[in-house]
Amino acid sequence: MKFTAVLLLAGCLQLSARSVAQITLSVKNAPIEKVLKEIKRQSGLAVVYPDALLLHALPVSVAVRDAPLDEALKRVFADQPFTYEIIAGKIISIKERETPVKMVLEEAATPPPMNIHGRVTDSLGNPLAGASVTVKGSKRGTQTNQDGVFIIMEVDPNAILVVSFTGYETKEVKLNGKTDMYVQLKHVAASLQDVVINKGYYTTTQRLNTGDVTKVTSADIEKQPVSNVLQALQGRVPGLVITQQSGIPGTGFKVQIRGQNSIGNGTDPFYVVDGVPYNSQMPFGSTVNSMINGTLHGGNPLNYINPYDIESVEVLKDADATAIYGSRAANGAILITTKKGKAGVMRPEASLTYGVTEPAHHLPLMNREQYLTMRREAFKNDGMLPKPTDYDINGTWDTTRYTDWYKVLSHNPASYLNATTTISGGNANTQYLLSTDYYRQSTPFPKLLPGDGLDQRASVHFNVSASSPDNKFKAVMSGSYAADKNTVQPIDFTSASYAPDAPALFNPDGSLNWAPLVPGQAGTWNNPLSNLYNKYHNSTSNLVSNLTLTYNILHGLQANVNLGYTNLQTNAIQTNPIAANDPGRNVTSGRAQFGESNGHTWIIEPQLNYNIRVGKGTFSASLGSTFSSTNSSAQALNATGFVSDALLQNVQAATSVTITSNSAQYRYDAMYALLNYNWEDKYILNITGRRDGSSRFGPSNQFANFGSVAGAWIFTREKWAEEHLSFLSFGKLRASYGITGTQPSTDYQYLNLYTVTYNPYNGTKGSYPTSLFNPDLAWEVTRKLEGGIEIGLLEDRINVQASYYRNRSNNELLSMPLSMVTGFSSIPSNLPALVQNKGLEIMINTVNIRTRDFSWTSSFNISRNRNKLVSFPNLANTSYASQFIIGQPLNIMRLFRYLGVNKETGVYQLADAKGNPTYSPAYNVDNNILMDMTPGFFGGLDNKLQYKHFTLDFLFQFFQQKAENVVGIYSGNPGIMNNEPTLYLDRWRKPGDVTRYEMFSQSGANESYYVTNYVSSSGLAYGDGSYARLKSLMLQYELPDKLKQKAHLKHFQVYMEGENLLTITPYFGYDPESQSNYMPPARVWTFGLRMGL
Amino acid sequence: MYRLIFLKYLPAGMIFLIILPGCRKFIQVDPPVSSITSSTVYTNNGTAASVVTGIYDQMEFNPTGLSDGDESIGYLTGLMSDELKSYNSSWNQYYTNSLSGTGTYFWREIYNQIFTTNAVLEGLAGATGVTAPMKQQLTGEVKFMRAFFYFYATLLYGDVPLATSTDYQVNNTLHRSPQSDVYKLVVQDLQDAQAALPAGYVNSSGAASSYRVRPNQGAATALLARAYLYLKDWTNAGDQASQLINNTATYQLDTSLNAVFLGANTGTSNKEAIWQLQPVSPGTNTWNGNNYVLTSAPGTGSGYVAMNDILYGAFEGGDKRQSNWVNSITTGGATYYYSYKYKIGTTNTSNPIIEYNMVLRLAEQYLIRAEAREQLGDSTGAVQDLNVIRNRAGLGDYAGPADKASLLAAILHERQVELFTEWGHRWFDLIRTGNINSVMGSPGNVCAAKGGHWDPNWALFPLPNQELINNRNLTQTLGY
Repeated sequence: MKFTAVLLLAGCLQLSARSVAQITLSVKNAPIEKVLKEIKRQSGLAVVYPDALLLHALPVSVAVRDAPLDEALKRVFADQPFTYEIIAGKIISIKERETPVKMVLEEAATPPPMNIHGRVTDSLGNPLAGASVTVKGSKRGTQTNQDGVFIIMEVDPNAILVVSFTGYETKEVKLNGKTDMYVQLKHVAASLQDVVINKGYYTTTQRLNTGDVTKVTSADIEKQPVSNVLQALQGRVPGLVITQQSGIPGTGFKVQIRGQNSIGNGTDPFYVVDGVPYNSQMPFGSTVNSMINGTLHGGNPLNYINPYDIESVEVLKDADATAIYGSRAANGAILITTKKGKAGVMRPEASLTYGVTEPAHHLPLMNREQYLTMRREAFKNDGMLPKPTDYDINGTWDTTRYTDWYKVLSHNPASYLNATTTISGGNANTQYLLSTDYYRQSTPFPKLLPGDGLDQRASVHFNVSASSPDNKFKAVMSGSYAADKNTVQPIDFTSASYAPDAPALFNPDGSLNWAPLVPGQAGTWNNPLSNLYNKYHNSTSNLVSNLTLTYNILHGLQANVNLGYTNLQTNAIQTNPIAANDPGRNVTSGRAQFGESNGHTWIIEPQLNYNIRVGKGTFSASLGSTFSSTNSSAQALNATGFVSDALLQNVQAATSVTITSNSAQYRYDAMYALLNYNWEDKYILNITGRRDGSSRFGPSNQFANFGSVAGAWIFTREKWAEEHLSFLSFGKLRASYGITGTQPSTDYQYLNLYTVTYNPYNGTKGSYPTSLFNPDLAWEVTRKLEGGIEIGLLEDRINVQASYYRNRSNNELLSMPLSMVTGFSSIPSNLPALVQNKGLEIMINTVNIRTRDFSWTSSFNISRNRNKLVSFPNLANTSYASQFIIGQPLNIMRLFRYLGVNKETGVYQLADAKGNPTYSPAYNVDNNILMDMTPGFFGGLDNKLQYKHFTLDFLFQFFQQKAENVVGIYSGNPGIMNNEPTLYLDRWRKPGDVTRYEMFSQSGANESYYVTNYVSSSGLAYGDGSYARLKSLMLQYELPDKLKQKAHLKHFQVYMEGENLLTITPYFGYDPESQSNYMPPARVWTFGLRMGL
Repeated sequence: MYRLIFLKYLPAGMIFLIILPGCRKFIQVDPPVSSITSSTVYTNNGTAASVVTGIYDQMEFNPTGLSDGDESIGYLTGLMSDELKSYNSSWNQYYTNSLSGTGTYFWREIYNQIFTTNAVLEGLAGATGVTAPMKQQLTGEVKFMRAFFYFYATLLYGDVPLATSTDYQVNNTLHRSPQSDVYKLVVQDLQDAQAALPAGYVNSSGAASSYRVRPNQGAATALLARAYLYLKDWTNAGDQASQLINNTATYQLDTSLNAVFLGANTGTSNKEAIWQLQPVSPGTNTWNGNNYVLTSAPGTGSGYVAMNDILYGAFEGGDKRQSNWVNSITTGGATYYYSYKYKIGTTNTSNPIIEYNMVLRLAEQYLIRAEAREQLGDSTGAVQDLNVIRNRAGLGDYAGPADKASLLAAILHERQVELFTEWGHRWFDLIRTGNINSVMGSPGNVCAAKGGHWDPNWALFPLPNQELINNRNLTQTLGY
């Protein structure tokens, strides 16, 4: 259906054609209508035909130059089931052939059917078992056996056999009377090289891609029981580090592609969902989410996109892939494409996944005996006796009681549920897809009511594509809407460290036990369950919609426009009722916090594309522009003084309300151009350019230019390579260089804003300037250089991609210190600090075994990024002086040298700058041990095994890194009234002991108590945080075809899926990924089934 | 046919849309609704006036600002001179006169406020939506405020950079200007303010007000009188003071000493007030009262300074200022005196705000004129003015020697007991009159008594060290 080229001669030639009617045509597989139109144009003759006739037309491939009309027509009609007649030299009339049907009948009738047998192998001669062999035009067919052999009975000797096998090129073989066949199938490299890559404004294939893009498809996303697509990307993309802040559903993520480029503007990549820019952080998350429920760490906008609606995620890394996004993509770009319908009969599908979740690990704390020993020892070491408030040990609490608080507070039954339905289908011109999803996950914390501690999301997604019958006009519309309700507790019990002999939670009458010394008075502890009365309720809705219109103006010239709109709205409330307080403390009023945020973005992107053959290559160019606008606003209310818990939702009932409000408008426009020249799929040159205008830049710098140049050389297409490098099935070298930018992360940084005073002065409110006007504020510049090699070995059974990159960012957006004479001590400014990230990424995909019943494929990736602050003029005078060191990575830690526990005194010792032992070293003087917190290397290994109807897929993720361990994270001195990790049992007890940890102490009686403050910034608190994790595991069984047919099912699968199942690490702490005392990422075990009609 | 037309214009339309982004208009955005930008502030009377109101608000809002409280000019120079006694080691650098470049002192706040005054002047210059009378009033107010802050800047630091615009690139490389240039700007601004400001008191919308919390013409005159005094321009100092003293319809000394520091219009007309700042934190009267009034031994929570014995001993017998403006607390067998001009030290949301932070008051004008007259040889007039203040404090007429030196010393002494702990009068008087070295530095004198030693260069403050780094054109104050 595709014109590869139509050569149109000049108008003068057309004039002469009227008399002589010389026709020039060069078409390949073109529709006959087009060819006739062209002949009509060139000859000036009318063409007439009954419409129905052309329905049976075959595509035309013809090349003639200055041929007489009759000859051209003969060639055009040679293979057609109809013929033509020129009437009176003026009309070309098309009519049915008179004989063909008869001829076919005769031929079919003559030769008798025969039995065929044959053998199917790959190009190396290995038999292909299970290959399908069918007779073209009939329903007859068979499969090859173990040896690649097949037999088909009674076949027409002129028939055509179609031989196909997954992963291999399908081949059609004409029998021509032969009964013995030998068919070799060429392996289509699984076809990694042919994977279509979305680069935002255009698509290409992995083979022809000049840039560095990693694609993760729904096949990998769907088999993980996750609620955020970012979780499904972990371990799969070289260079991409995703850190889940905690295991609580709805939590925030940190995302970093190829290290930290920007000192002050974060590492968030640029997200695009179906062509529409998408928030990387919740709008004003710090105002609303963090303030209200800190356990969610600000949340993440991708929590509101159903991962199962996603068809593919492309991670764009190098200049060639990212420069087209200009000032927004220095940190890389993540393009999310949602699912689309495919032509065919309606395909209803449904799936249900249900399972249990729990914190992936925990830190064992002391049991009662160990705890009590610790406490007694601490008092002994301090030479003190328990005070009246040491209830755990002074006889107030029953020391024979034992509660494992981890089990009670952080290990309650929690579940994961996901249910989806999808309907898709369509015909050649219209395709549709409709899907719904319901997801629910709960926390492992105790619940007061059944609706507590849940994150629930219901979503719908649709996609409709429609094109005109001539395929000139096409419209694609898609939309996703998600409504999320999050009621997770505003407390994370993971690090709860209550004394193991703390009182019972409940009184015999079922009320909360506060264990007061005197009934009716204040209790002796804070009953942890009281926190559950503090309710959190967050309703978030998210709409992502997009419409793309495409029009083919002329052959090779196409116009399209992309229109998009997104809206993310959050309403949150947290109540702190009177009931959450110890009745003995006589709290008489409650509190409530209300927060709402709203962000919406629209975008319009018109684009013109042009393709033309030039020489032996294809030249393509695109010119486009972007208009985008984002408005966001947020408001948070802190209301106090509610006298009744029943009124907490009503702000009016508060006696005092303080309001924080924020709003921002962001406008962006750009013009871009793409130029690509592909010489015989051998040499490819790709040039991109973009001119950005952003409202975040200062008025004198509102426009900026970005661009890239990239080239690829598919050297296996060279003759010498075919001869000398025949073991290579594919080989490509590519290189790119370009400039991308980072915009200021918040709006209005250049503006001189005035803020309203807190209180009125003499009856009216004042205002005062809060910032200087900086018209020069500009973007950060990142220059990206990359070289890569991609090779395929053994018929692409082994594919290796390796890239080396060096990104250098300067013009860093930071606050520049100013003399206070200017009125302010700093101004947001672009400083000439230079940050470098360089690294190596390797990805290897292998087909280890492929037989009829068993196949095993692997995908392995490993990355290493080295970060360095190359220069920072005037660093010593900035507020960053104590944080950064020139020549070192940005996330360098300055630690005190740790000298171990003093054998005689039992106290930690640190070294001062001169190396002398001290208990009280000085910051910025003695903390001279540098520790690089950048991961050394990281990656993942994914294995897929398939045996008959069983599929097993498991992904390991690994990190080699340093991390802050429990000594730094788990604050408090072992010995105080807090339970402690059992690892502290290796403590000093008497002179001469050589131990890892110092003596227990419960007060400031000696140095051991204070030195811990410094030890938390020493080598003892930091150490190996490397880990290998069984990130996901899936075992699936697909019902055999026969059974499916009986049940009238297209497919039926049952599966078991797991997430975060096993972590191997030398790390001392909760979780080496989050490196905190928050709930570690959840371990999820699910069971599910999926069926399609 | 329709489709053909569409087709015909589509490419043209597309090219138009694609070329369009060159225009700047699309990316002009509105400022956040929670803040205003300079471009919108000066478009109407209300927002323009709010910036000027903001200057006064900021002066009173900050409990650690230069105007009021335990880091105010009055408090800290009181520690440095002979007015206060420290009970807090944090104040050692002031108390033992051992300042260093590690502190920012008043520098940051003074120049932040000067920035605001310059921003208002620039904003009003191009403002079209602000009415002429309002423009005149606000220009007068901010010129007054700019003079006020530069006056204190030069008193504290000597030669200071003169920032008269908001251009940070210019201001970030300024040299120190000679003190004479600073005074020139102060006098000019005050004369401009005098001409622009109304004689009566107005509120933020320009309507007459019984409060005296926004500077008026009188305030400009009062500060001008003081500036001339510091410039030793005795004729002008006396003339300006006379304008206020003669305007008895508006200004009169309050006969009740305990009413002097009450806000005008808070149950008293307080005609002594020329300009006061209204406290803005609900429930807190002045931060001065909050910090000076002792309800327990100093250093134990209620306050960290007591009155220096030198000041307490400076009062003549029967001086009502000693009984009305000084109070004491006896605890642990010791008696501590404290400044009691502001009497309300507690904070309670139900407290009415009745005490205002006095910035300029008429009593000072009598003392300015007395000094000016004496310097011009009019001893009779000088004694007359001196006696007005003495008599109000319950003291008899001046009976000391009538020679110039004695009279000037008497006036200086009168200033010491009249204006103590107010806006650094004592410290700046010692510098101005050249008495600082003898008072602070002579053996066994103030500095030694406080446990420090004296260097004549230390009359001026050091610049924050960071300033010398951020602006290489700035030089450190001599002696630091």
